[in-house]
Amino acid sequence: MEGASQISQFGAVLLFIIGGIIFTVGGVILSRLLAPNRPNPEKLSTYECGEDPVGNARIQINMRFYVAALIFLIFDVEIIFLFPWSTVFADKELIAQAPAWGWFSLVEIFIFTGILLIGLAYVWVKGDLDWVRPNPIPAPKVTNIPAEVYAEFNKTHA
Amino acid sequence: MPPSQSYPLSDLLTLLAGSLGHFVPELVLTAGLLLMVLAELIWGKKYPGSVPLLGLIVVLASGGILLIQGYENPFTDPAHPEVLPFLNMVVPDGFSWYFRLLFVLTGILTIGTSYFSETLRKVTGGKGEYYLVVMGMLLGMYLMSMARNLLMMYLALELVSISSYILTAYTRSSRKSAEASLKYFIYGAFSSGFMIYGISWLYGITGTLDPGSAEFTARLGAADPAISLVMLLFVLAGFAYKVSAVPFHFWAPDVYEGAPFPVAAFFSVGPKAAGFAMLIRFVHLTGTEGPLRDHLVLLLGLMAIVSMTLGNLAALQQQSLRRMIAYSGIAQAGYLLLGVLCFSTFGFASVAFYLTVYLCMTFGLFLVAGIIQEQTGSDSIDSLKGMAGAMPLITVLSTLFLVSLTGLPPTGGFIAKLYIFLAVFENAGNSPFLLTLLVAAILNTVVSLYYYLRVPVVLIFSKSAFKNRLSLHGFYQVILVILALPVLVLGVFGFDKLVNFIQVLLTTF
Repeated sequence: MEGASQISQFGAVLLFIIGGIIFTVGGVILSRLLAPNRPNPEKLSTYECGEDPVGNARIQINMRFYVAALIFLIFDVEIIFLFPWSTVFADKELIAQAPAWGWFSLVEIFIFTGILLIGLAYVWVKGDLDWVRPNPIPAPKVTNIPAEVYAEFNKTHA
Repeated sequence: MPPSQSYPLSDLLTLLAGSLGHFVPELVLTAGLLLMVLAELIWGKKYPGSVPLLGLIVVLASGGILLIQGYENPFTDPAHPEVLPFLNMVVPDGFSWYFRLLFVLTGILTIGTSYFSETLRKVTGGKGEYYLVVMGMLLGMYLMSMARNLLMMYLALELVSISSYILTAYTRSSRKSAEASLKYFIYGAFSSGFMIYGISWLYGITGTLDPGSAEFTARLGAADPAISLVMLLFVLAGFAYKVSAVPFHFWAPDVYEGAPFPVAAFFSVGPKAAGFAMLIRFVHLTGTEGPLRDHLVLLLGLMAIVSMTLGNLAALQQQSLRRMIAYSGIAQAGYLLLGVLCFSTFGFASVAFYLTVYLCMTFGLFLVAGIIQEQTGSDSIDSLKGMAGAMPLITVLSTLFLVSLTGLPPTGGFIAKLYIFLAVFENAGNSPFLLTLLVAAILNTVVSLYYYLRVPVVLIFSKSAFKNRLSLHGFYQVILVILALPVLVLGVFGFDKLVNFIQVLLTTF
């Protein structure tokens, strides 16, 4: 670890930047090389969270996006709290200073996670995690071909 | 340097563990809240009454623990007698003890009336979520009365505020409720933004968030008076919003009118008392000996006089009973601010006493307004015409509450106003500003006589075709009588003992 200790704090940031560039550019190049290239208009359109990227931006968006986003946020923040905790909870130096430290921090983080888990159970049981499935209305019949023929066709050509 | 860094880790852990012992009522509330979430998930559908029942038990348990613990204020750790629980974050002293007991009472009343309210049951569909939010708000109010650190104050305030936005918006289908909730939210965000900005200034100047610490007072004393005046203005915005004092009162009439009536009754007493508890602690810590006293007297005095006058004048014109109570609440906040700016134990004690009586009379009055609205479908004062024969008990009790709110003997409201005015008079000395405030307050009381007593006059002396008796749920009868008792009793005897008792509590302040 002789070399690593030479890197200053900003050097670490630089490493992150270089790493980030390599990963993104490398990913794009690799997929160019490896992936089959069969474009269609759907695939070529700009990605915008599954919404149509062209047209009025003031469309109704399913409320459930917000619920999912909120739940994500809660657990995202939880992870942010867990990382610094994991670096100190088993710290030998701190335990030497106060033997109760390890248990104290362990119990604390369990309470914290437990409260969040109760929240998760709540949204789960209340059905906020269930995505509303679209219930398509079948198009009105315009031909004389019976529906069974279509079903048969879909079965054989699936 | 914050005190947390000046203790070795082992001492810190002992301090934190010791703090938990003084935090049991709050821990019970928190654990109860989590249990209620589970109860709602497991039994919510089968037994819709289980969540409110559990809530009631939890509030009672927390109140019982408060009573058993008593109001002595032993510090966290004998080895460090200078540190309050959670490194000076909260003060579980006699003062907050008294206020927390008031909140227990408010909580019981709110859960009870919510359970029996037909309108609310239609809105919530028997779901327990509503009670969870009430409990969260109760916890926030507990913390508000105990908070000593500025950040803790802010967090407690936000806990109460966010719960109140949800509760206001509970009647989703109602336009009024939605409007009230949006107004409430915008004003709340606005004023708490002001407050946190002011707190950041205080922190920038003093380098500490603990207004009780020595460096806080010393460094503020060295600061430019103009800057500290602006800072206080910002911080007081948050308080003014919670106690619904001018200029942050706009939400009150809409919320009181739009929210379901148990919620509105809860709001009119709970957060107001909590706001005053926190304001008194803040004012006491920053102003009693500090250089901020003159600023605080000026700002609170101006707020008081404008709140009283504006609240009373606006209440004169109201047709809706609930809006009238809202404006009367703004005016009452003005009187209460007078007690705060006295900076004396007697002044603070008179505010606590006033809030005790205020809790009973305003909650009672809101209950009356809610019951009448549930039965007749109208909230206007004119619709009460000649209803005295249809509801004798309500007529008698609401007259008592209104007479008490006006401040006429022989009611608790009279004694409460008297104590506040006495406290101001005692401190006025030769300060023309305080004397002006006192005169304004007394004149305002006369103005308020008209709109308060208009209600019983309409009830009793108007002719009406309405002859049938209105049915009144037995629970409401009991609650109304229980609320009326202290209003009447404290107006006749025992008031001096209670005020002395509060003054004793304040010695550990």
